[in-house]
Amino acid sequence: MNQSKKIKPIISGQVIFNIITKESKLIQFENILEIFKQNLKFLRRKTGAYIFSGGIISNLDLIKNNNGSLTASIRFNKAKPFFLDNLTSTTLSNFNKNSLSCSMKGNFDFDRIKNYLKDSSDWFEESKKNFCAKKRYDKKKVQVTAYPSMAILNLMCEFNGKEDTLDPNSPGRIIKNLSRIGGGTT
Amino acid sequence: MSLDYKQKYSFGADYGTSFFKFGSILCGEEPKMIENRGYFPRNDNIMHNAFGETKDIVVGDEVPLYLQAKEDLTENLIYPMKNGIVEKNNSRAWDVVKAISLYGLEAFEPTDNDFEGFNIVASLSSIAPRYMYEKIFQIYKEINERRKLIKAATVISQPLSVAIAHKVTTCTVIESGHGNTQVCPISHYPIRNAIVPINRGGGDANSITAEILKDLGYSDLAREEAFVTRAKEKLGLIPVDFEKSVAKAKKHPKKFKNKFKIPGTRIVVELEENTWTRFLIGEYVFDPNHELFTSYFKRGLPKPKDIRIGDLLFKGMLDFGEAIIEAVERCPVELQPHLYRNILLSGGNFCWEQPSMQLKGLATSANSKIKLLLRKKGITNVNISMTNEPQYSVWRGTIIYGYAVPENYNWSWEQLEGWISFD
Repeated sequence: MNQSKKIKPIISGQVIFNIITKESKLIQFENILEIFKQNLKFLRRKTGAYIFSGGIISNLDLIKNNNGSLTASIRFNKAKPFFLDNLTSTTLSNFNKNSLSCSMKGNFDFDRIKNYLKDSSDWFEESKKNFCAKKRYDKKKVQVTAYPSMAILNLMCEFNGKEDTLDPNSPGRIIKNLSRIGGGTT
Repeated sequence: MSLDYKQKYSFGADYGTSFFKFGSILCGEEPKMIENRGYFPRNDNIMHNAFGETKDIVVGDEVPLYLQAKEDLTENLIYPMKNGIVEKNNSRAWDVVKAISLYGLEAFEPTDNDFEGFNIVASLSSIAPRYMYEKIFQIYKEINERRKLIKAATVISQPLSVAIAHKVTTCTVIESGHGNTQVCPISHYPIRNAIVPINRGGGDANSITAEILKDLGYSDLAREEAFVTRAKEKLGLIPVDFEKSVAKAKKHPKKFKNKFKIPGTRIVVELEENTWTRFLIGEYVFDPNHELFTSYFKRGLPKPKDIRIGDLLFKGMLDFGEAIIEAVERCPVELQPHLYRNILLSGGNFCWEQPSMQLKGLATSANSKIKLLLRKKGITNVNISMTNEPQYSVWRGTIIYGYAVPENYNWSWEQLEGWISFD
């Protein structure tokens, strides 16, 4: 039997979380970076990017909101599922809530992904063949958007509290599952 | 425009002279890239009438499917930008800009109910005149009249976008694309009076590679841009000292041996005793003034010319070291050391493979080459970094900018920053 070559998608995206402690004014970019360095294996820095084992943090921004609180945005690239799990659990341990947007780039079998998602809630499809659905993974609702012409599959979900990243809801697991359905590996 | 909304619907559009890089924040870290060109098919023939192919303009991946006779290309295949600038009254060029913008937005149009349009950040050359900003906003307005794809828009310069992507507020950015190079000092904002544009980019490196391939007997293939680009990337080497490296390679050609096969074909390119020509490609990018290039110019290699666009002179033959010094010396003396201390290299023309250890002392990286060019001119205390995946750093900066700039920051024509709302 011919076994077709598995697609190895490039995983990248963004995690955002609000910093609403009284000390938020004192929190600096370096503090957050230090938290990550304690929890993820830091390898080296390269022109604004921070290279960790299993993924790269390409950008870390602190954005001031109108009410004075801060929102941190972390953009990551070339991530492995375990890196994403570590990244989200680190932010949840320290900041209690985060929102993850994660893209997988690869020539997936989008028809298979479509069939898998079709019965989910909030199903939409439009003329350019992009489609979107909210898929439930146990208690977690994940928004999956597919851009077949761009070979991109995007996931968005929110995590509340540390227990939220426990299996089977961890972002790494969800990514592995979707990738496998689309004919990919991670 | 809440942060949640921006997290989903920020959109970056980098209008390069040769390539348009675009994509929503959900793209991850790599944008989609198409050639910045449009084809106007002849709609007066039978095929068009019989099969109902009535497109007025074709852009993106479909262009090759529509191409007709070669003679027809010069008239109907339009590259709208020259050195990052679109002529004010060139309506066909602006039609192409509009078509690629629409192509990009439609490709990422989400299906969600809560979509009210993208927050689009467009990035233009640092020397783009004000009318280009006005025209871009006008195009976005026209796109929205047909279908609501844009909620708010802003425009930033490409070097500033690079600086944003790397969190550096005082630096000198050298953005070298396919068509041209911009050397732009930045001190929180681009210092417009100090920008040094150069009429030389990756396309010129392709030209010399094509000449080398012709000399090796690959004349037919040398006419194909995609093949030449690949050959350049695989064969090109940046010399530490051009004369010494060439002399060494002429003496020991085997040491510099490198053959490459084009995937999916039977074509294998081998340089054999001409491995020294690998250094021509690298040197030409950084400094095309050596006398060895003269023979190529005499045989038809187009010499990068000085051209004037508006009141700006784009020098063709200026070496990158000299260009940096010229740009930095137009800035206040106190600022100059800071500008040398943080030089950022960005753009596809700086995508070079790291030379092997075997070639240490003969071939080098792009940042070391710039350092050497500056040292020759007496500038020593410099720190040069190459951006991560330099061909995408402008686009990455647009995404970060779009996400970070507050929604209540309205567009100012004096500062050239803020959002124009399309609600």
